[in-house]
Amino acid sequence: MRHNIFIISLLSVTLLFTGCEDFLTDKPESVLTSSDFYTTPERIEVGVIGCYVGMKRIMNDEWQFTEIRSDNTCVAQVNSGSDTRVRLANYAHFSVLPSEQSILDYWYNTYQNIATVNTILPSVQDTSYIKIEEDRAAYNAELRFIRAYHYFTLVNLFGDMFEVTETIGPEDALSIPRSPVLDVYNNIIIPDLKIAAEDAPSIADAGRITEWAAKGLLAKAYMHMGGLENLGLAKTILEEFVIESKSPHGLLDTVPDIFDITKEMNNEIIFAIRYAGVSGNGSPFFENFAPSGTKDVFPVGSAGGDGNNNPSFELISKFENDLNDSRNQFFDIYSRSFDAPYILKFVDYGMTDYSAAENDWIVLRYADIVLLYAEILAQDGNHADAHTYVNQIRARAGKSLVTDPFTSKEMALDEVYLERRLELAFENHRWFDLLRMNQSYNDPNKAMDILIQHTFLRDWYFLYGLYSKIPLPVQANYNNDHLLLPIPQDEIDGNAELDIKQNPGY
Amino acid sequence: MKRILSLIVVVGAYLILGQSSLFGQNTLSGVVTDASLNGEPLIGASIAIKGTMVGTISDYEGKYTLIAPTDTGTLVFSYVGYVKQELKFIGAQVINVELSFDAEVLEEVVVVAYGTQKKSHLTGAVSSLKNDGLDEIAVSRADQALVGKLAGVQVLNTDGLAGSEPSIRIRGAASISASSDPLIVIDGFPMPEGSDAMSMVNMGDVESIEVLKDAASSALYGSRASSGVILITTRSGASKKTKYNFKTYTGISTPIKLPDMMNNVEYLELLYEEGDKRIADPAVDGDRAITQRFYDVTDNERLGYLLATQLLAEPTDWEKEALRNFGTISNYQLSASGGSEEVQFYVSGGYNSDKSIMKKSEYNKFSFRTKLDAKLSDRIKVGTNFAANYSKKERPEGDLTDYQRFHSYIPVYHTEATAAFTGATVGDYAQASDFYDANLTGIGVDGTVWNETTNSAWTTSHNSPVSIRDRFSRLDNRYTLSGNAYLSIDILKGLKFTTTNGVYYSYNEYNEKVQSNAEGDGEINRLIREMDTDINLLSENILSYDKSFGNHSFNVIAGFTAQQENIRDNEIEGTGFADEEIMQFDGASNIIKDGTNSYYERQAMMSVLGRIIYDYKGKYLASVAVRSDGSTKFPKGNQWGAFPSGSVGWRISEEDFMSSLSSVSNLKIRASYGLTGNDNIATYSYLNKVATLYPDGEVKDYQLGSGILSGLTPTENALGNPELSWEKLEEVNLGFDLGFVRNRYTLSLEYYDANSLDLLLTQPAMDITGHKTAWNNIGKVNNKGIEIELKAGLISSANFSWIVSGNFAKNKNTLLAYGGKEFEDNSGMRSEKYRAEVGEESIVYYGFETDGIWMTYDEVEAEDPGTYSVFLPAAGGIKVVDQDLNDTIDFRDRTNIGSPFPDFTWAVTNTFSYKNLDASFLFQGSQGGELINGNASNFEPIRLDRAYTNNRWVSPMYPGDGQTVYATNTSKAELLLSDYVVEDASYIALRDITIGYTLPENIAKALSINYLRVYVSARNLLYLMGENYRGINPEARKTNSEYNNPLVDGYQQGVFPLTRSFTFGLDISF
Repeated sequence: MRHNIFIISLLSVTLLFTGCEDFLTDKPESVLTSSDFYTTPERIEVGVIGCYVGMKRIMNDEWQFTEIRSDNTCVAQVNSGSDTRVRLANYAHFSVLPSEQSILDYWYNTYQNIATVNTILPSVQDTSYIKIEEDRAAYNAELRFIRAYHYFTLVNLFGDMFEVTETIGPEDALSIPRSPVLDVYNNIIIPDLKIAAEDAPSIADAGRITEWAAKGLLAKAYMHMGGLENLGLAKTILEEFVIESKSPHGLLDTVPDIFDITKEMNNEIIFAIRYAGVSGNGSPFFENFAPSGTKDVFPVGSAGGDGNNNPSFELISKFENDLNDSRNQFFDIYSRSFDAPYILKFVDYGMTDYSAAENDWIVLRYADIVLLYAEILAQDGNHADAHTYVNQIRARAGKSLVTDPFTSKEMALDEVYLERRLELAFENHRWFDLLRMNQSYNDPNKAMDILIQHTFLRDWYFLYGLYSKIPLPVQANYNNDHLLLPIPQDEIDGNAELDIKQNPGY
Repeated sequence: MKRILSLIVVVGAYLILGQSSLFGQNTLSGVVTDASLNGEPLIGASIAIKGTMVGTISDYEGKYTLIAPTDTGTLVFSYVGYVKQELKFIGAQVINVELSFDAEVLEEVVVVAYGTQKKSHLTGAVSSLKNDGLDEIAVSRADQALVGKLAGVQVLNTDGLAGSEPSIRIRGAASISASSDPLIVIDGFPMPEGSDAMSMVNMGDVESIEVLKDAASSALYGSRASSGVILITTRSGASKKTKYNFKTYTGISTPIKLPDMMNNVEYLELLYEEGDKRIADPAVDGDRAITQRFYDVTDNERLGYLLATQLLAEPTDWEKEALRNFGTISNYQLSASGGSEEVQFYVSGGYNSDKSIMKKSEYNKFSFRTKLDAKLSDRIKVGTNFAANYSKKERPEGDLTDYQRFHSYIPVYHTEATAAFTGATVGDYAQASDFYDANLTGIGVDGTVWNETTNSAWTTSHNSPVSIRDRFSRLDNRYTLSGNAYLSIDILKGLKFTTTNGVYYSYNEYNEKVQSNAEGDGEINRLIREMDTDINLLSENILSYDKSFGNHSFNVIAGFTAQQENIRDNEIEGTGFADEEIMQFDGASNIIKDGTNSYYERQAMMSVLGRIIYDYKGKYLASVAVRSDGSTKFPKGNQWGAFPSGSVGWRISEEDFMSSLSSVSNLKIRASYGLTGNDNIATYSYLNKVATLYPDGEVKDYQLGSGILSGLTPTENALGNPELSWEKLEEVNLGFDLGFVRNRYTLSLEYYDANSLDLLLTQPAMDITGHKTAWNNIGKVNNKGIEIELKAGLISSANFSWIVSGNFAKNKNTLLAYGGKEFEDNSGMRSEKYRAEVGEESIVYYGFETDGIWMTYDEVEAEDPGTYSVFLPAAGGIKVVDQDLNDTIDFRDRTNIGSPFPDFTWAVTNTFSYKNLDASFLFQGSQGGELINGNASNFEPIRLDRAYTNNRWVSPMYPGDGQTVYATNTSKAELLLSDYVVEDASYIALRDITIGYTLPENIAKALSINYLRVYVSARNLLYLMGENYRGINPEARKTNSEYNNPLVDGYQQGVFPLTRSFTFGLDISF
């Protein structure tokens, strides 16, 4: 008996030893790993979908940098000194610190999606993973478009940029300097968009990249690069839309239809970030932009929306000059103890849950293309013709037309940019327009002058006369250096090998 | 020696017996002397006749006399620290006795890794704590009772909620990314990390707690031991008559300190008082006289004042609404133990209830333990050890800040007046939104009429904290079972084989039920259910061999162990339930995808281990051990690691040349070296993972024309590394033990120097990689320090004794390498930074040093604003130091402004006993660490908190203390960047006082009970906090989210108050 137990015990020990190999073999039960993951068409498909999601994640916050800092909006609308409001005020007043967390978050999310694109891109090009050449081309176009889009916004918001086009490790990152903006255009944005324009299908599943999305963004990229040659390149592309009508896109009959949630991905939409009116997939803009404390405007909750992105009274006054302009109905004023203006482009009165609004976020639409074309005409000596295209937009809106051709470049530019501002308000265009204005007017102070006027003259009373809880703007901060956001401090501190220069003025 | 003594006694007794008398009453007398001190008399020894209440005490010559009521009986001689003797008497006799010193004190046996060892023969650093009154400390968890008990073991109660797990650090933080939690081993079963194992132990069941502090002592736990090992040994049965024991205590607790908050009325009074001061100040002239006088008073605030004065009988004290009048704690435990020569058992059941002073914070625990040991034959023993626990923990939604920020013009429930004013219903929760667009006219603070129309005193999207709390239910129900069975066989003389096989099972279910309109009106109801299962299997097979020959003795063990853990975590979230009481997921209108997921994983470790302990003549001691672990946490090729150790000791006091120094009862020096490991990182860290969710839980779904599709991308914050391996800790320990006068005075000194190598580090990566960090084995940290444990039996007589014991620990932490970088700034939840800089402590608060505040307008105007890219000068605002003296203030002017690590920790216990009364006092403290008081980042509460408004700057003529910033003259983000929020975390606490009375044995006998003790105790009766500390609980720290990073520590915000408790207890056994 005793001996038996001893033998059994020893035996079990021996058995355990021999089972070593199996015992320590670990196959993750719930975890997928990225090495060798994107090797089948199905997995590449979910990877590419993930890149669209990455773009959506960034879009949720982009208005903070492209609308809040422009003259379209004002921060203060309720008398609150909440963290969010102070942060947005710091953006609006160009007094943001390099340590600001939300800049880092945006930066990180952008580079995270770039890294994802860079991870999947080689698999797309590998002919052994996807056999159908057409599919390979379409995926290639999608990934490159997304990467180009990210670099385009990065250089416009932050200036000189780190070029990352393949998977890199922490050590590799330390040797990458900031490349001049022009290099980023020439090395990444333009080539990627050219390939995307080449490879993308003309029509795709609603929401995916098409040839026309790539061409639209390519034209815009050329225009931001500036110079007559680039304007010429842009013009040729835009003519495919507006002159040759090669694209399936055009203007809808009425403006409100563009934003109607029952008519999403309509003919005017060239590219949009798509949201579904389902919890977890909804668009956050309705909640973000609806006024705070509005039980009757915002269908969910008593607190209403967050009231974080409000039209300036000056912007609204631009419409009141012409009451026939159907775009007036996008602006309303909620009256409580004070007047709170708000934007109605992104509303979904049928929503049942916070952040479950249906509204897509339009990135490129035909009216933008038309006005870009007008903008080029204004610049390249054909300013007289520009009024035709401005009138296309005005006519559709129901606004009176510009009767006579523009007589000067300045006049043409003034009208084109005004029309862009009115037509595309709150669609993340105004900031980019302001940046281009410095070039087109050939005046490096143009944008900042407008912003100073907006803050300190036109909207001061409504912005700051009533609401005291946010820090007041300081005019010294309104300088051209601050047209760029600071590079996140962590990114500078994080590189001990290269001396990463902060943008001037921070 | 002992044998000779007993022979003498027996012979003596025999001789005395011959002189016996046959009369009914006998006079017994004699002298009690000390056997070892050449027959010196023992003063105050107690002499009693067994089974009676007759007894006496020896006088100063050691003499005694007493009259025995019967002819025959047994005399019992006892003296503290001496071996008790019982001698029979017949008739009147002279009985002289020599009592010998109880060598058992030295021969105390302590539990070590995979065995036990005589304390005198230890060669490593092991602190041992017998459960001597530990179970009388009124805390709901065993680990909370360890505060101050052991040198070098720091127990920090990081939040004030009932049943919360404290943070335990042994000899400082050894790791910079993996966890520095010690390994907990309960009755030989290494508990899985993160299992909150200590919550399952009922202190009443604990026999002893040993802490293996140096690497040599803990090396047999190999790859999990580098943060130290805590061994818990539970009580076992004994071969005697069944003994029943019932222990209970019950008590109440109250907060030591609460923030001193103003209400709306007091706040406005303050602003007007300050306004009056400004108007009296000639410096407040011109425009300033208008803009500055009341420059913080808004119409909204004036309206708040009017609402509070006109609608309410008195302003609402929201802070009070967060708290109960007092917390309660109670504990009940019943146990039975006993057995025969062959079978012994211990069975216990306990119930513990802890209601903290925060409303809706409650912890209830039921625990059961059964231990059975059976001798099947002379050579075979079997046994089981089985424990079952059930605990229920309720947590409130919201922290103290949520109450402090709430305006006092809002009542908790609508009164007649507020209902009439707002149109709400009497008795409903009052919300800030009910008071929007108010019109009110009335007399203001300044006596003038204020006319406030269509205004909102406070616009907030938050509901009142009471209504939020009432509509939230957050419950953890945890069930654990652990059981193991062992079989041990004596194969040959000295050779024994033991196999222990066990299972630990834990199921934790968290339910968060939220009713509609909880945080804001219109919010829909929801239920989050998390179901976490952990199944852990262990097999340990140990062969041990004991052998002595001549002057040599050996103990050798060799073993093989295997442990496997299966984790099954499931989570589901639904919203829009038709019924709020009965929430079933099939009744949910939505299942939320990012709250619904499952995670399954398996971890396994297999190990071989061996140890040889050798001594020569009981004087020269040596030990070598090695463990080799194979773990699934690392990639193939890096799975196995070996952890060797060695130690030596010399018991100098046993040497012949020491015999002349008879007062030195113990003198030993020890030295050890060992290597241990740390695998306490997330599983699969070596892999780059692809997931359907972002780390923050956002779903990767995308709507296309063809429908909603799911994305699958690698978006983990940390980049995997296929080369990952163990962290290692290399530690040298030098020890010195000294005992005087038969160890009435003892001193133990430890010096250690530990290098943590190959530290697993989520090496910060530039964000342009698409990741925040990357795993690597690149860090190196040194911890060196000293620990002192002292004990002095200052007075030791039969009636009265006074023992002082104390401990002191000082640890110095230095970061030696950080992946080739000079430093790294880690972020917390606000703008504060934690710098890890090579050559410094591994956490240094990094920010701006302040130099008081700007006192005058002239001073500010004289400054060139171009100088400042941060901290723009403003009168009453903070002034920072230009560290690099380059006449600009920017981010380069940051410097080290504090550290979370204390300089030293200490504790002193005084134990007195007088006859049957005893009292003990534990003073305990921590000196020199700092914390970041994040409350300053919360404008709304600190506006009203007198800790931030007393002595603040008002105007140049009224600068306050010249240190306190006026309101938001410096922004919150900037305050958090500066040493303005770095506060002293030192404290001195009278942690425990216990005063008890034990019924004399003879009375107890008469009542036919074995033992009866009653006591009262108080925890934190005195508590001194650091001078510049503005908070209410210097021990509290935030430990979740950002603060889960070992390099980000020392931040507190919205913490619950420390409490003082008073309890009454009873311990009875029969």
